[in-house]
Amino acid sequence: MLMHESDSDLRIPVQADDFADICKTVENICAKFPAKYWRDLEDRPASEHYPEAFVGALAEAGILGTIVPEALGGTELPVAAVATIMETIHACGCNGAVLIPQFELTLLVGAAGSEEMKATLLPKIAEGAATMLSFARLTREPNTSPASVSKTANGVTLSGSSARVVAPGRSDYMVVEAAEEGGRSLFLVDLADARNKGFAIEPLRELVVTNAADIRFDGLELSAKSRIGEAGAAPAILARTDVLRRILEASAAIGDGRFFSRRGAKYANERVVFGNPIGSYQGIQFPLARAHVEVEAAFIGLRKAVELFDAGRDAAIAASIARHLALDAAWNMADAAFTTHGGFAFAREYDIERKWRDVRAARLAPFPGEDDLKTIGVAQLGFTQLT
Amino acid sequence: MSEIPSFSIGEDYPEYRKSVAKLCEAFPGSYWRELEDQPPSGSYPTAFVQALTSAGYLAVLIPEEYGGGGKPVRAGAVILETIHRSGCSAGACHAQMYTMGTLLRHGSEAQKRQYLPKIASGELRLQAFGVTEPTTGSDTTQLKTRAEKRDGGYVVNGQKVWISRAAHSDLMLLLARTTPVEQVKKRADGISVFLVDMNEAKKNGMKIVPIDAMVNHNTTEIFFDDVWLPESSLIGQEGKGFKYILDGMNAERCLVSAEAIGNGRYFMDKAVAYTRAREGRGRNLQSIERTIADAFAKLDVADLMVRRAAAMFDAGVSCGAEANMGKFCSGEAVWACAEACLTAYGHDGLRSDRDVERKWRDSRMSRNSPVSPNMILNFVGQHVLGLPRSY
Repeated sequence: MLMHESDSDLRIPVQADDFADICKTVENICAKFPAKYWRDLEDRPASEHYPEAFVGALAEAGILGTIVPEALGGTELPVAAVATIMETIHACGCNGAVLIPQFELTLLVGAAGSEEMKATLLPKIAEGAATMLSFARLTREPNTSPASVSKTANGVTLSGSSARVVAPGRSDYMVVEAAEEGGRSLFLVDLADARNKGFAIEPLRELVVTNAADIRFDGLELSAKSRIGEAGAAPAILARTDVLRRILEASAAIGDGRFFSRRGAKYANERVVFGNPIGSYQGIQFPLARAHVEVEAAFIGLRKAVELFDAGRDAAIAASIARHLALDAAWNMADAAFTTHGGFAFAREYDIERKWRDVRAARLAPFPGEDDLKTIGVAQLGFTQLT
Repeated sequence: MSEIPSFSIGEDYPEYRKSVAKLCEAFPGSYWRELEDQPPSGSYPTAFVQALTSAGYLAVLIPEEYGGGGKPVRAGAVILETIHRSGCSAGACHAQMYTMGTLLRHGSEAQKRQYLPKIASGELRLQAFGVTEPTTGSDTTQLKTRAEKRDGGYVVNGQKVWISRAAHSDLMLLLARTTPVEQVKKRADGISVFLVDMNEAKKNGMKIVPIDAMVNHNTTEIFFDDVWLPESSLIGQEGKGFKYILDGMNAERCLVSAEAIGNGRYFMDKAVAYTRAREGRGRNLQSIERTIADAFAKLDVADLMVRRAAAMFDAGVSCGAEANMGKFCSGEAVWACAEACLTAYGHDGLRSDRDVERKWRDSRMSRNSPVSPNMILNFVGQHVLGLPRSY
């Protein structure tokens, strides 16, 4: 049950120094988007929360094409590279949450999309032609009707709503998961085309900048070509993209942990109270040190998940372990840094409170941390009650 | 730069995992429970240690030229992990594996030729490591046991505490101050390491007193009253002993951390099997199932942390931070597993014949020994985060 015999051939280097060049590129971009940029975004109406310039700079540098095949204009790097990108963005104090569905759907279209879809979409993504992807999962919320499709002569019509979809207003395309006869299926929706034909967006203001919006389809007509995979294929296709999502959410959390570890230690060294730097008091030092160890442990778990994923192995459990521990560790690190900053943690200019809220929110949305314990409990430990 | 060392994420050393598990089958829970019922004089797992010794497992880290297995620390870690995963305990004998490291790295060729082959064969037991004292604890450089130079040797006076297996060892590595602390520049100077012949010392003023403790770890107090040690028992240079001991600590941390991982796996196996069996009986077990899944996650990454530290140690890369963090994570993880398992068993877990309570008691030690978790946090705070020394 607890053995990993089939993965005995995989090894992890004791130090991670892969993709140092990408790391540097991302750091240089992040340096152009300091804390003030992110604070100013928050001051705007929710409909203007999208970090347009930041995503544009990453797109221009080719970062969005990291997992697009070379033949279609991308750099075709392993997921380990994307994990490094997400970690670096968050470690720099920026927020790359809007990129997660982007990478997730790049993988999805590449793995399950039609040849025509790949040829149209992936080069645009690789060259950063503002082709954002947004992902509407089938959700069952109170007071909403889950998205469903029914067949027409030329394709399907899509109706129903989906809650808290990331960046639908800024996306050119969206993947929609909808119920139909025969199970849950996936469709690619050209949003430019859809906006005047039965598609509505309601941006949400939330605890943090999430760029989430509720969306509704009112009998939107889709051609047969918009289908990704066969009818009822969504669960099988999403099984792999879901693992990537967990890996990238874990990577972002590790980056957040690194941000708070650095900022917490810096302030603890600088701030003098009762005649000593407060970091010399174990009441301050120990929570920082303990959380730092937790971040390191989650990071090594993440590296295992990435190694398995890139080797084409089943990484679902490892990714769940990494995400579960990374979200917890990032929160403990954030909270330790918050306490270290005392009252100044509340002051917006210190940038602690914004990131602290970001980390707390990441444990809830877009998918609850609880999902990971369920995966570990069911898929690894064989508990039926957690399903 | 040479290639970066790496570690396996799978079941490495499968041959050891298989053969050690097979050996452990002959020593079921009842064997260990019965030992606990004995007085200290009879509680040592002699037959188990003999079986491990005969199979050569305790000698795997000794170089082949001295009769050992010539394997890296990771191989030893897998052996210890498997022993603990199988429900047995290597606490009574694991020091035979790593205590010799100080002798190997810093002893003279003559000392190595004299002792290592016999340690490898099991003819000589080097199970005791005399460091801690009643008044100094983790502050090792303040130790008070004195070894005063005389013609041809040293005279030792003082006291050690929490010296495990001393009554079942032929040799002991002893840390004692050879130059008074007032006469050295740095507190870490003036401390020396000796290889003590226990049988001689017992006739010469050394007294071993067992400590009755919560766990069967055969631990003792040792009193030295003008104990004579010949000059030939000094390891390396006089006054450099503290450094020699530090060298070995990372190996020790990798190895005992692997025992914690093994205990964690033992708890997970039991907790999962027990809980799954209860699932069919209509109880809502979701809360304990989440707790078990959380402990499993912590154990899995702690295992990776320990593997990384061992890989660095074996490659000769400095691994103080990694070995410390691996020790911290494995201690926290095994305790999460122990608590989850005991909770999953409920009242049943208190029954000695379930073996959960015994293992639970044993596992508490992983969060204290051989290094305090507070000292690890001090290390991480100071050397990893760059914060001021807090103590």
